[in-house]
Amino acid sequence: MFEYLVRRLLLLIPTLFGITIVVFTIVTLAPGDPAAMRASDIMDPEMSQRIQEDLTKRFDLDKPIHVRYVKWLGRLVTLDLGTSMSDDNPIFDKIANAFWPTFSVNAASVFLAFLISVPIGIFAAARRNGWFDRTSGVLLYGLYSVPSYVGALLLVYWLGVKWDLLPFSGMYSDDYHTFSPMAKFFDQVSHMTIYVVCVMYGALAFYSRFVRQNLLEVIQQDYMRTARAKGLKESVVIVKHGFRNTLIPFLTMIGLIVPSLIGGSVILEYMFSWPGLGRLFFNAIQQRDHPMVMALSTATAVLVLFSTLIVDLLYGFVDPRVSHR
Amino acid sequence: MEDSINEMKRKSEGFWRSSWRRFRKSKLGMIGLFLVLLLIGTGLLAPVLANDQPIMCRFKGEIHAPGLVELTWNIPFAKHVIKKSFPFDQAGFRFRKRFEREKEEGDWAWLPPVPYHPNGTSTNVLQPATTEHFIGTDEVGRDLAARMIYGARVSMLVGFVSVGISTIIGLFLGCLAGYFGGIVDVLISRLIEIVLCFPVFFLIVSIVVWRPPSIWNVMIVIGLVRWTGTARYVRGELIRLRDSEYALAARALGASSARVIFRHLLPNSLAPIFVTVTFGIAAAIAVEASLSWLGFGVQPPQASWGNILKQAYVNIQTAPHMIFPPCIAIFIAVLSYNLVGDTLRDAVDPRVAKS
Repeated sequence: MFEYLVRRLLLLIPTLFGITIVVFTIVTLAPGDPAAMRASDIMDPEMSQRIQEDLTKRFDLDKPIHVRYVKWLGRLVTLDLGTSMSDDNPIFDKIANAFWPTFSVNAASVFLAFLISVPIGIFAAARRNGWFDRTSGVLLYGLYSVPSYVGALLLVYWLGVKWDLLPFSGMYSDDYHTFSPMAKFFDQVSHMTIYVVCVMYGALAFYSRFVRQNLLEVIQQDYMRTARAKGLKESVVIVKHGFRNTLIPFLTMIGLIVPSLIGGSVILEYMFSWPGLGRLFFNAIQQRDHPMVMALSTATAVLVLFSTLIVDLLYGFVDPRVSHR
Repeated sequence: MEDSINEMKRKSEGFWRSSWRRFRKSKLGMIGLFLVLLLIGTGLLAPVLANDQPIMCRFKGEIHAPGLVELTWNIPFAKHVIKKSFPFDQAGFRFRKRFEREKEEGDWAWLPPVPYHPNGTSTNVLQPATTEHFIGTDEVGRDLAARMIYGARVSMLVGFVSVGISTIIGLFLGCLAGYFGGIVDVLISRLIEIVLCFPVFFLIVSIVVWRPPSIWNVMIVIGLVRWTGTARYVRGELIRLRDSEYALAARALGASSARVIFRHLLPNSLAPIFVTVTFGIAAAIAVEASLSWLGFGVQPPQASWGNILKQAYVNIQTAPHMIFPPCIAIFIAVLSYNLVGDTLRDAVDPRVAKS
């Protein structure tokens, strides 16, 4: 086990290195001078020129590409993300501020999706090809084919505009600071609702199909027959002996979920004017804010890498049949 | 007796024929296939489905076929060879107005079902469905039906070309890694692992700003980013097959590596790639619409479902009629490719077929 861990960690080094190279190349190859872009807003030509030169110098834009890469990598190793090129605020603070909006929505939708999809999957698999299995199958298949932004547009129209039930822009109302704590909470929840549903329904369809598929495989196992032969109740057989054994493939899903928790959906955050990480990324791309784009991409990629590693390690703990040697 | 011998002599059913037989059995799969063909047909026939010029007409005693000419422009480079006749090749030629005024005895016109050009503006702004405009007009008075039809053309083109690019990249790298192994395999496997670490949309948005936004740019970027699945699958298949007896036999006969790969190994593992391609097209259509919405994709005034969605969202309070056509179209496109992909997956898998 220890040996396996060391080997995996050593293998991470070239991959991490590759990630930084990919991020750096993609970002710096993009045309458009970030210094010129920011300086173009300033009316006074002399001032504009000075600011552009100042920025070029400060962000080393005049240095050759490999020098910039090594400098950036050096700062990255010490976890120094630098300052944003668009407004000079520390990138770490900007990411920290955008983290909660994205995380709260994604965590809520993943939680709700699990809460709903696990029972659906179990019921569908327990009575395979029954009416529930078939109806839920068709409905979920349909939902799965609706891209999140299409669902968002329809929900915004019906819930937000036509029936005027829920707000659909931003995180708070304008007079948020005057509310009581209770009202503040409800205000936040109501602003989140449409967004959470939009993120959730795709995941819901995916998880239910996943639970159903795995449970169907487990149901054919010998130990299920044994459990029934012992005279256990069907519900106990399905949940305790069946569902619990599907949790192992479920681990793979958790590896997929962790990155999606922080990877904000660019288009949904753009639609809902949500001040999260996806929007931060979108703005950074548009303003050619190179340090910001690099920081966000690297952070996400590294997180994905580590969650895959953790899931692989967890397999060894959860399933004694898997041995890491 | 003779019959039974002939029976035995007859060639056994090929792989593709038997797959098609299994595919045909699925009702949902056939519905999906029908919708896919309908969308492709709409895209290809767009110039004769929505156009302000007639498919064929007799104008001032002469026969013209500007719609049919535009139809031939589907063939690459045909635009430079086949030209419209005068006066239909003139910019700003308003056929319907001129036809009303200058019609001679015996003149006729066969107009498309949607007699509007997708970029033809009018003063009827944000109008809901009328008899004149089947599903209404957009924010500058363009006919929405015409724009939806041309949007289908964009979506189908993006789907096929981008998935074509990603499949070629995936096949190439997968073959290299799987067949040759060693350092090549290590490098390509690392590359796949690195690319997989990035959320696809982040990567697409980062690369798409390299070049000015256009439909070609979108296709290339989606293709450049989404090849990892194919590459991983092909690599695995080739590792499994490269030491098989028939590969060994081919090599012993002096076949080159390329011949072994393309003649002997790949055809045996091609079927699941078609499944990946089908799902890939569905995903590419969805990605294109969202890129166009964000302003990175197809640029106005060119019609695309994403551009219509964007305008629908901007005008959501005043013009709800604009929401439903693009939403339904994207849903149908994604659903039908998914249906075909799912059915295909079962149809080409001999293990499923036996049970």
